[in-house]
Amino acid sequence: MIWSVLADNINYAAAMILFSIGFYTLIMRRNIIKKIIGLNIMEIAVFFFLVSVGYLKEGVAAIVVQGAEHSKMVNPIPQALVLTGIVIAVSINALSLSLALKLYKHYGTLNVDELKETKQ
Amino acid sequence: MKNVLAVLSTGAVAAFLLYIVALLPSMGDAGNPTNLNIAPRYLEHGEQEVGTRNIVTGVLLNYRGYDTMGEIAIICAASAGVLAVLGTGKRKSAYAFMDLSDVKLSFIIRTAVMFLMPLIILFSIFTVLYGTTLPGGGFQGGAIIGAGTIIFTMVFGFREATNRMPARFRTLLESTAIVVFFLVGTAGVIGGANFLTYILPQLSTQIQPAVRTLMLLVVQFGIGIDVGMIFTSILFALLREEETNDMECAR
Amino acid sequence: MLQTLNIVLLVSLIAIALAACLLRNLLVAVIMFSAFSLIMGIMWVMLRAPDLALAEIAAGAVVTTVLFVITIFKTQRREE
Repeated sequence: MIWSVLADNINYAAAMILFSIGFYTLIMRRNIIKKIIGLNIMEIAVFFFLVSVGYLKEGVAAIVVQGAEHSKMVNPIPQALVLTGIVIAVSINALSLSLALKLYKHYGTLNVDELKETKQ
Repeated sequence: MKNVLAVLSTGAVAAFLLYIVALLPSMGDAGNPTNLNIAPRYLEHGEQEVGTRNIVTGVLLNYRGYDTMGEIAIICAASAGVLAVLGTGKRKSAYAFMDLSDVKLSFIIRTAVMFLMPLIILFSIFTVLYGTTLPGGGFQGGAIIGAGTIIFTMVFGFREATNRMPARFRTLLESTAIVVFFLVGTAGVIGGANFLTYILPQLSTQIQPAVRTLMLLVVQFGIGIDVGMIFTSILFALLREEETNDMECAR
Repeated sequence: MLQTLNIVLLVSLIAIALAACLLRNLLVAVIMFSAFSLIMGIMWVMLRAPDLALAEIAAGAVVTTVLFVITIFKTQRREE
């Protein structure tokens, strides 16, 4: 496989590597807060990939000013979708952290192995 | 053994994704299929159809208005979930650990935050109001309001912050913002246009652009204040502790 | 010049994500995540998305980090 093909798409490659780092953190770390951090890294990697797809070389931001040409603006649709995605990521964080706090108050531990032992 | 298996499966996922990404058309090319189909139409007709100069805000409020409605629903659901899990703090005995310590922050930090707080609030209102012509918008301004109240709480204490923003004030603002958003969206339906179209069809066509700008402003303000107050409520819910029955027996 | 900056920022992103994954001290991992959010904000500006940069820095580097730190303060601080 020739990896020089990736030299143009280096943003995409970095997004995929970040996604797999987040994936490993989500499945292999034993603390619940580490898993939430892994979930966040996965989400940010996906947003990064989506906005990179809509990039244009020598492009300008999607705001209409005096001398702007429409053919040079970057794609505005992934940016709107990713804005909604950032909101959803913050909401998921808030809810997961409150549930983790409640778990700690009830069981005294945040380790997934020890949480599996208790049979209540 | 499990560790080796996990590393191998992650490596397989990463290699598969990298192989697919190498086959995509190169980034930034002008002839990409993603830049040729829908985006030119939104970019050319965006300003006259939506009425904003910031095309991302225009896409978010007009072409993708239903997604914004769903996003507000998700924020409200998350706020309801956090308050259901952690308690609403209606009892008088709520306190926070940060108030119990004798150590106060240094004079430099307190003075600097005292100078910066009005500027932060002014900047957040500016970001919300100029969402149609400059980078900004409803959610960005709301996040800056939330960040400002978080900084205030961290420096001046939990008791001071909850005295200035009591629960009734916060819930009033949150619920009014949501109701205002839905009213503005439904105002067009009464006249015969679509949902979330930001026109009032009965009025004359001379003042239609002014009505549209006003409705967009009201919608963005609604989203911004809603998001800011919900972030503050989530912060207060995570910070507070209630006195339990054990402590009352010990007294 | 901008291409070099792009590559340097991407390499530092991957290094920070690896550090946030492998550290055992939870507080340091959360501060690493806040730095990750900040460099992501710079990447959004380089991709010509100023709205996303505002939203990411305000909601990722301030709100999310403070929520994490409050939860870690009330629960344990190391991973085991």
